Amino acid sequence: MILKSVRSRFSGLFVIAMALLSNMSAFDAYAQSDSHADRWSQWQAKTHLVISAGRANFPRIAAWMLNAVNDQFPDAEFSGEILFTGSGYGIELKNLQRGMAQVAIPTPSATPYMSYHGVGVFEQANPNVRGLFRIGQRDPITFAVPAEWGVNSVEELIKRKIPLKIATGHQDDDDTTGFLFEEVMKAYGVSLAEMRSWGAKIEPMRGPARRCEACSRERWIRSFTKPL
Amino acid sequence: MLAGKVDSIFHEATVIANPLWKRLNEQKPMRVLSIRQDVIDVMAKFGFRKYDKIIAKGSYPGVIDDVVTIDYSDFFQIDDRLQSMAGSGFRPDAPPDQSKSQARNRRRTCW
Repeated sequence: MILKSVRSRFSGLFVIAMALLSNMSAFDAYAQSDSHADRWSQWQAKTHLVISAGRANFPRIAAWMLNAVNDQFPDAEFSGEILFTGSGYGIELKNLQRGMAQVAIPTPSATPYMSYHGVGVFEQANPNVRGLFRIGQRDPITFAVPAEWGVNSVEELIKRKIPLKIATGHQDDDDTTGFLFEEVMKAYGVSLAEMRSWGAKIEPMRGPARRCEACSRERWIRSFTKPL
Repeated sequence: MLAGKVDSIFHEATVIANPLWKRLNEQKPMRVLSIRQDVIDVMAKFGFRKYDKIIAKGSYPGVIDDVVTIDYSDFFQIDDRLQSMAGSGFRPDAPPDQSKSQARNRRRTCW
């Protein structure tokens, strides 16, 4: 009886998985079809606002904003969309710079600073960046190690060349947490390469951001069902 | 960290206020490290600054001494001056048009 129930549940899961796969495949075919651009454009009103909004709370903020902006327009004259990039860091402002979006929601306050000045994770300055408003959120960096190591400071961690396995952000051109970790260690006098040479492992906490370098909007949409 | 894949952390968000932090510290006591002031000062060139509050000793598990760290606060709504709402008449600083909103709400509220 139990086996029968389990088998039935697995069969159900299999059907759902197959349905999803075939649906994704159909969506992918649709996204690549000639009619796709036309159909997509039917959703776009005279004024269309794209918000690059990362993950977690960011898309919620974007949805509130789109709703509020929509109320300022006559019926059916406004449309909007939100890009779920999975980031919330540099990629949001890079989407702005590349014309993929008109509004970005990044964290922390240092990210738009870096974009404006073309420093840190940004190679090019974007002097057109303007802040619309700030949503206050108290957030300190936490740097923590096991107490059993008896380490009292970052200097001691480096001096003892502890082969730590640390969870932080990606070392790429997007993730400002991973970038900050590298810069902080550099300011303490050690590079990530040196740390790795003594056995340290630097592990990203989550997957990398969705990105679509120099691509069209249609290719961006396709990227959600198929690797670029 | 709870799964034992990593042993240390350098991360944004209020990690130490998360209930999982308490659970982790019950399993494996942690120590939160301060970041030296001169290192924080170097980060200013990237727009980072000192967290404006000292995390007091004993306030959270693993905070064995007062902790000084880097600020990673705030979400920002950022707009591209050249593109956003160009020609649409939209002004982010303008007060909402209440009459229009109310008219729309009268027509559309259906729950």
